[in-house]
Amino acid sequence: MVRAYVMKLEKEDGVKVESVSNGEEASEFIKKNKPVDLVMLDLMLPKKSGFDVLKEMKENKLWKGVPVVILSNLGQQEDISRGKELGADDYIIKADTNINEVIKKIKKYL
Amino acid sequence: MPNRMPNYMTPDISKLDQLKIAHNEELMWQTTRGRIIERILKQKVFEKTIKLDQKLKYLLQTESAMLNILEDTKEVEQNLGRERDRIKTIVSSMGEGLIVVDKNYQTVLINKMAEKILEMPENELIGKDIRKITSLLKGDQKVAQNDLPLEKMFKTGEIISVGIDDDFYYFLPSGKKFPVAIIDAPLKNGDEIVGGIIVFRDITVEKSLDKMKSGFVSIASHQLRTPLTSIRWFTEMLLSEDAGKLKKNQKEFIDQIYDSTLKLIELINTLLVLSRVEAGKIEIKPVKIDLIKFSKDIVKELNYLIKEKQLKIEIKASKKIISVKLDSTILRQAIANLINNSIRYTDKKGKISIFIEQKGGEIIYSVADNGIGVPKNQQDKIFDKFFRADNARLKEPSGSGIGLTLVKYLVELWKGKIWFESPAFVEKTSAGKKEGRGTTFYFTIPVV
Repeated sequence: MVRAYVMKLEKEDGVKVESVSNGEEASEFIKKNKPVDLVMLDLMLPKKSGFDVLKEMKENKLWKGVPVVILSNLGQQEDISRGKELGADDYIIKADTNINEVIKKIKKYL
Repeated sequence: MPNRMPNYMTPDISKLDQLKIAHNEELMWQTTRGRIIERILKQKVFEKTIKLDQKLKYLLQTESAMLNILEDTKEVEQNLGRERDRIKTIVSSMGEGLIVVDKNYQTVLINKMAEKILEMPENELIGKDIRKITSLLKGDQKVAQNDLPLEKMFKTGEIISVGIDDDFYYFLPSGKKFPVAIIDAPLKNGDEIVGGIIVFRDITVEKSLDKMKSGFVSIASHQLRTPLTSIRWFTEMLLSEDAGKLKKNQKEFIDQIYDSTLKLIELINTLLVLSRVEAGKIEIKPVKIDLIKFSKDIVKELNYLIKEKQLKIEIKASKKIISVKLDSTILRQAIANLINNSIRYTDKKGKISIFIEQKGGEIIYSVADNGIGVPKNQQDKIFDKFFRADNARLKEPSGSGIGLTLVKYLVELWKGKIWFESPAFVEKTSAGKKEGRGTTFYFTIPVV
């Protein structure tokens, strides 16, 4: 599913996209790499939850200023509040949003 | 009194004679006295005998009366004993903890389950102030004296119950904390409250099941929506021809897939809201809403559907601005669902009217259409979950039957009422009676 908007972004807008496939890889990525312009974060990730990744990001000196857009199908009020409390800039419920709206929101931060 | 003493000193008579005479006098006197005494005694004995006889009779009567009473008492006692044993058996075999307190909060009766739940033997519990045995917490906070259910019960004389959603916990001296459901009932003597009955149970299992249930709904909806998002987005990419130009019928097929995907997503979202309302887990954030503007915005969002069917739609209000204080998401869902239904079940070129009217302490909001209506014999089931009227099923085979259930739940969240009218015959035309069509849904919102 991530491939859908990654393809569109890379192809149509020339955005360079790095992607990881689980929460632990995301943690590793933050530790080993320089900050990026925007992080798109899912919550239900294998091995480590998106909430934990977000928390680590916000505790990391280099990465804490990077905007984070949560892109998830967890859409309960408490999930959204928790994401925002942890410092997410936006919260997109995937199933309720069409792909062009997602791209539009991403571009706002680039 | 005659001279009873013999005169021993008389000189004319010999000593022996004197003694004889004296003896005879003595005898005579004694005999006379004896007779008198005898008579008196006899009389007394006779009188006493009568009295004794009377007393005896009285005693016998008393005895038999007492025996009767004793017999009765014994029977009552036996009955009471049986009753007491029966109550004791019921109380001790109850699955709930039971404590009876007097009006000073002192415990006077405790059942086995209460001992088990509170982890203390009866002798440590009986005669104690119940407020000192356990402390009641709401979440992590100690419940204030005035908010204690028992206190409220003593004040109001009403039965007070605390359930799973109240989030009450017992905190024991041992440090153990567990969620409880409690019912406090007054014990009355006439109008006076003389004590209370506390029935309680440990609801740890129920609580965790409840948590699991809402967790399950949340995860299930996530897992269902994830693949659907994938279908949705790739279909959108296909439709916007990211993967190359589409032939006419290819586009048509993909359009179908797309529509169904959106419907399925909507259905899952509705089910999710429904289960959360049922579980009492909807967060309500009331804000001030201008109902007319709010309705116009919703109509605007649905405009593409209205245009498609060339429907006429109007909004009428009894005042220029009618404002309410409600959660906007909840209100939007309710109104949009009703308008959506009207659009769905009204034929092309039909008409939909929205009336907003303030009447006293409430606002009556109605959505009227001249659509297919609700058959008389199915009107009582219209708000049932998954129910669909026969004519609705024919017209829109893909409906789910949960829209109106949701609207009802939502309206009840703000303590409003909901009803509808779908008369069988409403119009009399020059050509005679015309079958009445159309449905009007009404709901109320309290004015703040």
